Amino acid sequence: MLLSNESPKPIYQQIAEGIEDDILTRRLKEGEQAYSTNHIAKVYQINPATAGKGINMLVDEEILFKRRGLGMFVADGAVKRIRQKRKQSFYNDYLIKALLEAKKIGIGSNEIIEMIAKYEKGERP
Amino acid sequence: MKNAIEIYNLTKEYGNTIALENVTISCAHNKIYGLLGRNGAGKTTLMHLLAGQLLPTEGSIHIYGENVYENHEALAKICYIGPFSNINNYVKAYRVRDFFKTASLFYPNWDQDFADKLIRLFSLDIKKHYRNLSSGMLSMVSIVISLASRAPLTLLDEPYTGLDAAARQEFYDVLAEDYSNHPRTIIFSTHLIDEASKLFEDVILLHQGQILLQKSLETLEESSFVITGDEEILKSVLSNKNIIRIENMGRRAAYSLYDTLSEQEKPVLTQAGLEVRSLTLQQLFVYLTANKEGLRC
Repeated sequence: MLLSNESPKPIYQQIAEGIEDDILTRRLKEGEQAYSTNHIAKVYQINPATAGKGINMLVDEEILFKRRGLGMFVADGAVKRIRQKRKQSFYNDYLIKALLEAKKIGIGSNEIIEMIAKYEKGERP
Repeated sequence: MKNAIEIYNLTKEYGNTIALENVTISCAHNKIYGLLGRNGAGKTTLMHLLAGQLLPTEGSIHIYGENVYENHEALAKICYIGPFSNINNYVKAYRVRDFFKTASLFYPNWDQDFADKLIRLFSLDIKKHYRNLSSGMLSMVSIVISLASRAPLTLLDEPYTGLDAAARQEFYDVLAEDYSNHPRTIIFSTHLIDEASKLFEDVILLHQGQILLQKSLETLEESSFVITGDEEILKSVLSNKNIIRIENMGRRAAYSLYDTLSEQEKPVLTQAGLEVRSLTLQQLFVYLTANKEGLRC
């Protein structure tokens, strides 16, 4: 994960999304211990309060949970919850941008559908 | 005590020059504050007042509930590190290890093991004389003192003159780690805003001797954007926003705003073909403190 101070998302959200990405790609598995606030603060050179805010956001969304005295762990069902949440933003964050770019350079809907079909077969467009 | 620092109606004048005017702020325990301001905004004056090195012309400063001026007990809780400019000849005879020895006697929380670790990290030669140190090495000496003193209130006034980029990264790294393990109140003033801003929890912006804003970093991140695209569209969709800067290029424009965008507003902007990015803290700082003639709004 790379933090960007030009991203329209605040740092704490970028931290939360980075952890979500690691859960989605199974670098962090459900039931496993997640990163600590202090560890995140050190690695990304950010204020621990900012790191804590990102982690607390995931606790509120039941993606992480706290084990007293042991630290943060990935909750059961975390992958499912992240997928549901990300589906809502997929349209805004990715699809619209791709479609606007397609329109700008004159790629029609049929052509895009063909590209998707080829991608799924493992061919290059 | 509710807060680590309470400043009320503080004014500091030097002759006819007003360095600080009616400053009222409070700082909570164990937070890192970024103190920002242009040259001559009053940052160093404020730091010196907090460190008990100056008396206010008017108003009051309380640190941990006490007046700090000539109060030795209160001063032992404060570590001020600034540019090494006003060192007298007596101190010039010091070797690096003498600075650390003095600091270890003055600060009750001094951690010698940690100091030794930092000395190795920065490859400091403790036998060297003060007069033979480069400005970067002097900054390293200051930084070691500021961190190893573990003072409840640590004032870092542009702590790294002459320090190269690699050493600055090491400093941020150590600061983030040590602060996590030993929380304390830190006031950090720097001109390298984008490098250091991720370490701040709150930002205090001084402008021409007055407080322009004091907000959490997160609030500022969520209320400063630059939106680029077709100027006609920008004009109509951002008409009710607080625009702080406009840059034009033909029919294209970039509008910088110091205002919030709701989760409903952001997709509307994207769908209108506009690109939304966050202003960095440094850009926000530059635009908010720019000369009025530079503004076109």
